[in-house]
Amino acid sequence: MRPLTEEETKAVFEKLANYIGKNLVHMIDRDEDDAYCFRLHKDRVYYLPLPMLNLATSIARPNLISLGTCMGKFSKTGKFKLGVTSLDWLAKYAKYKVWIKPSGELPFLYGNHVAKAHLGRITEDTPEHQGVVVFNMSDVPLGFGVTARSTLDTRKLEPTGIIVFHQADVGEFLRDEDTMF
Amino acid sequence: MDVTQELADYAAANSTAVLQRANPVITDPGLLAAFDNTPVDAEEYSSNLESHLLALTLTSTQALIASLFTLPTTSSSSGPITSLPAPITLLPREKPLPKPKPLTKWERFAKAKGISHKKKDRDVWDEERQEWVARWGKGGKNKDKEEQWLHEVKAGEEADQDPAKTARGERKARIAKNLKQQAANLAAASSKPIPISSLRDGPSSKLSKPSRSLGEESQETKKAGRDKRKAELERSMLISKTSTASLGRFDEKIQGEPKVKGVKRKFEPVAKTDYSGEKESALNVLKRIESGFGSDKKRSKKGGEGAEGGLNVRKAVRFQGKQDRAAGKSSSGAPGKKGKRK
Amino acid sequence: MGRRAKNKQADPTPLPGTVPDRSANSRRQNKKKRAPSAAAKDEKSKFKAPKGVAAKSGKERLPAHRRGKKVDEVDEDDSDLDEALRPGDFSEDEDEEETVKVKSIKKGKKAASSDDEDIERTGPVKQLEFSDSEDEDDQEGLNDDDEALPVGQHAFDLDEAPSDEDESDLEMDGDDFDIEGGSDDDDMLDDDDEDRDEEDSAFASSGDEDEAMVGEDDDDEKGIEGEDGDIQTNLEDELEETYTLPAVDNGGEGEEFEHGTSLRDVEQRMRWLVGVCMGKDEKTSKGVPGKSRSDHFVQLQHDIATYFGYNTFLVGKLMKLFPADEALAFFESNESPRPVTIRANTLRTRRRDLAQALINRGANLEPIGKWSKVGLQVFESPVPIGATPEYLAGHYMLQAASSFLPVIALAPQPEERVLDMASAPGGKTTYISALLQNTGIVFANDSNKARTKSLTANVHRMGCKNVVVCNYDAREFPKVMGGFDRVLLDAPCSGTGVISKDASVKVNKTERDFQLLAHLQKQLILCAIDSCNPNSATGGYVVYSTCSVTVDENESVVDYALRKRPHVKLVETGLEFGVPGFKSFEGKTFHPSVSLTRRFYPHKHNMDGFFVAKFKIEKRKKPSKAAEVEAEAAEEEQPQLKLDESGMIVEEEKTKFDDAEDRELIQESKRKHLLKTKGIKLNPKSKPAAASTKKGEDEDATTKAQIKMPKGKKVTDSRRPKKA
Repeated sequence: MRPLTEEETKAVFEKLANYIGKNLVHMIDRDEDDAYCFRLHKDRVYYLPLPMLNLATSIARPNLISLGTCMGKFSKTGKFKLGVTSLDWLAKYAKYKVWIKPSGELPFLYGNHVAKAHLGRITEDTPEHQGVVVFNMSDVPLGFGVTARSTLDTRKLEPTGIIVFHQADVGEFLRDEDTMF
Repeated sequence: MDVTQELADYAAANSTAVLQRANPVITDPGLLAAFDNTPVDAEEYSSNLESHLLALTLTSTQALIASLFTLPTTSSSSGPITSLPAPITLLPREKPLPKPKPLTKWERFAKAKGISHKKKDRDVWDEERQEWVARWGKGGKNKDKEEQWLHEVKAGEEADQDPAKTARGERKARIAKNLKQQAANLAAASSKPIPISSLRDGPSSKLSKPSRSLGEESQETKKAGRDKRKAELERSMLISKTSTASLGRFDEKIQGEPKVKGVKRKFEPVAKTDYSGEKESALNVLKRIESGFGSDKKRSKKGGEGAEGGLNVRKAVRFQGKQDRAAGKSSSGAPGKKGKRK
Repeated sequence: MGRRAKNKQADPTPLPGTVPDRSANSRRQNKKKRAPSAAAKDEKSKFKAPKGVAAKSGKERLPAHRRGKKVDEVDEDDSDLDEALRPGDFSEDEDEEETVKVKSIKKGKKAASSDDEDIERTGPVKQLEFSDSEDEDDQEGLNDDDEALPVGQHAFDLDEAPSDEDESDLEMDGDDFDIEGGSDDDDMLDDDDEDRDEEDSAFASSGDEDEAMVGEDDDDEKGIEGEDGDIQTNLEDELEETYTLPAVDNGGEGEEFEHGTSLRDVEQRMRWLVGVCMGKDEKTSKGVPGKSRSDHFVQLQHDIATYFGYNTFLVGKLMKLFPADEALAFFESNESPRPVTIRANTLRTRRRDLAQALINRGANLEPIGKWSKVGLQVFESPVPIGATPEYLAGHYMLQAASSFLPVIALAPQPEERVLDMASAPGGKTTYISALLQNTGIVFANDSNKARTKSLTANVHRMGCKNVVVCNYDAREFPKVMGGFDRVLLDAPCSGTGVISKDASVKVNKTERDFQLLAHLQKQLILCAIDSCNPNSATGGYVVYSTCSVTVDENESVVDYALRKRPHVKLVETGLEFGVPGFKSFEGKTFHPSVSLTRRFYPHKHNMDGFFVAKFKIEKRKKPSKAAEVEAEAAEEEQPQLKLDESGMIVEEEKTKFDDAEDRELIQESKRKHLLKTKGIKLNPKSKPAAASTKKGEDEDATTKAQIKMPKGKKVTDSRRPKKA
């Protein structure tokens, strides 16, 4: 377990900022009694409260499996990929959200992209290629993705067109449960 | 009509007034040079500079031409030819004096010991054949051992060695050693590692180059350079010692090898007492991203790669060039379509 | 309708109990008739078609794992076993097997026919053998369809040598066995003909005959023939049935599996024996005369083992826990699964919202009971409960009701540091995290690295942000980290409480398994106690739980902990229901506070068998100086009697203590004690300095300097200073 280097921090923050934008400050700069930090362990980035960090240092590296919340992992080539386990935090601070109808929940949870026909609501002024968090109509976060078109263009799109590219969804807990950790 | 003035002007313009010089113009036909050593006439300079300078030039040139015509000529098909004599004037050096090359290792030793260099002849007297044989080269004596058809094997030696091969191997080793020594000498001289492969043509190829600019390198800078190279070498050696992985599996550790130090990257400690520093650096990173972020947002993604301020210079130039051409072929030296290509 | 249509569509036969005759004859003829059709039939598989038939076929054979030889048979039968073993599901109809299974009277034949049963039934070749005889029989049997031969007349099989009158019936059955493979086919054939079955079973005489036959088989030495008298009885007269105790007669454990009794009979006998053992009802409690109650008990154990499919060792162990009728209820409840339960994740949703959402999906559920505010019981669901979007969003977790209990007992408070020593797959850990409301820290440990994957996945899915997952052998724990406010140890156990989930526990647990497990559990509980911080403001509790009902994994482990760690005491678990733990068992008495522990049974509480114990760790106290002085004085006063060389009893000289030596010894033993219990390694020289850093010790400087006699350490020979 070690802190992130500059480049790694930059990579992580860039990815996060794509989804939560300026709210990223709230993740880094918190109250003293509620401080969190990022740590890297075996190519995975964990976000954990500071008191936990002090205790977790007593666990040896080969025996430590997971801490706090796993935000994502670094690939062998050094690229950072956000994982579905960070959904809680993204949903909390998300700037752009997409709500999908009940009919569209299951296809999304199977890993398909979101079509316009399944779209319930979308925040205004969502630009193109913007990271968004996908919710269902009862405000339960289902995953996150990247918009294919801006909000204006979405209006012009035909119902089968894709509006959100799927990046991660909670269905992965079942589909990829073997490879997740 | 009064043309006298005009005539006078014409005459003056075409006249070849040769000035009278106090010191005669010294001509050096070998260098095609004429030297006018009289002091400068300040009055003339200030009053009519151009005409005076012209006059001076005329004078010297006339003198030079005159001297050229005094040279003995030979006649040839295309007219009288003269060959210039040797230059009289001593010219200063074009290039600075070469720095004395640093003594090679042997030269230092020989100098210290007082060994003088005996020049070896190319041929050596071969008693057996009663003739002069080349010392080296084709049919040289140094290759005798390899080429003879019969070798005596002393008692007690291994019988299954190939003496010719051994001899050849030894010779090659000597050559290699010598090349290495030359490379070392050159490296020491130029404070730069010289690959041995570049010495194959002979050390002279390297030695003829001037080693350094004027001013001997100081000991300190040399040492610093050496140390830096040494440190780099050590580091690359350490890294290569540990990076023995193939297909994800590392080589087995050799027993007794000391543990290598200094290979690990240095990271911040995991847990500290004070996390404000970490928070600050994180915020800094965030700031850097965000500043880039704002411009990212404004940048139109459809515009293709844009440089500063979202302007595509290449396209702008093309566009401009097109406009210029349309306006009448007056491209103002703009690079044009192909201008940006390298 | 197929080949056996003619058999199936037999003429309507009189209801059972109306026509008392036709005992063995019809059976024999039926069998003969069926034999040829058996020939036509190659495999048992084909007769699965009718539902009842299939059930019967399964029931009639001994459980597959005990038969063991024929692969294809095993597969088929297993699927029927569950259905088959449901108590009381037996139709009246499959008593044919008994005759089939009964070995031939002659002992020699017995072995042969047992082989016959096991030999792969080949069809045609063997059938051909007796086709001749069958023709004859058929003619006779035709008559039989409508009416059986009058009692007393037997249709002799001319192929067979006649035997005793009494054994004529048996002989006929023996004939069946002589036909190789026929017996097996007969099994199947029997199933086809329900009417016939009924007919035959109407004669509980068949039962009796079987018993009689069995008795004869087994009791050759004893020659008890009292039961032979009642050949014909009616169903209504079942109460007058008499049984034998073959297992006892065989010398107890000798022959594990009793051959020749159908499962139905085993079940009947079993229930009767339960009545006998309970000794309540005069009518049913007569028992077999001449046999003691314990014999009946042994037979009951054997029957339970046979009927439910356990090995006798485990049955014996479990039977000791309950009175006989409760035991039967326990075993029966292990055959059926417990209801599916889920736990609402309070970090993400509320139980009523979750219930609403699942009801909208079509599930049928209701709250689990008053004792839990987050549990839901799912009766049925059109969608898979483990794959709904709510599940994926982490709104609930599939968790057995019994798993709620240790966490309820632990009752973690927010901002506490909790350790879960064996936490995979994560149900309890996530519950703890939910109770902590994502504050504090939970250390979730599991010694199996593969299972930590699912643990981590569950932790993340349920949105628990305060969990650290690690992979240690739990016995390392106080060494890695200590000072937890609460510790939960859900120890690895034999699983005797969750037999309904995993039936292999019935057979693969041996004495050695229990010993190893108990040893491991004892080590673990000591580690758990040592990892807990007694000085904790809000905590200092350790909960020990197992999903097992045996005493040597539960109460004896708890008692061991209480003995080894005197500063630890048991407290109320906080669970209102549940049976209190045993204070004594099989001659071992436990600490009286063991009754504060709670046991849960599937037959009483409709949840998996479980055991929960809650300890409170208090501060360790050094023995007070006054007590030490008294101890010393007491020891010194006793004159030590000793034999001297000449063999005379001589009063020993008062020994003098060498303080310096003693001090060293004391220090050394303390160092070792620290190492063993807490894993703290001390340099032997620096021990005095380190002693003061022991957790929970409240030593002051004065007591440290003094020499203390460790409590209870008598001056033994080894410690006595050696003097010439």
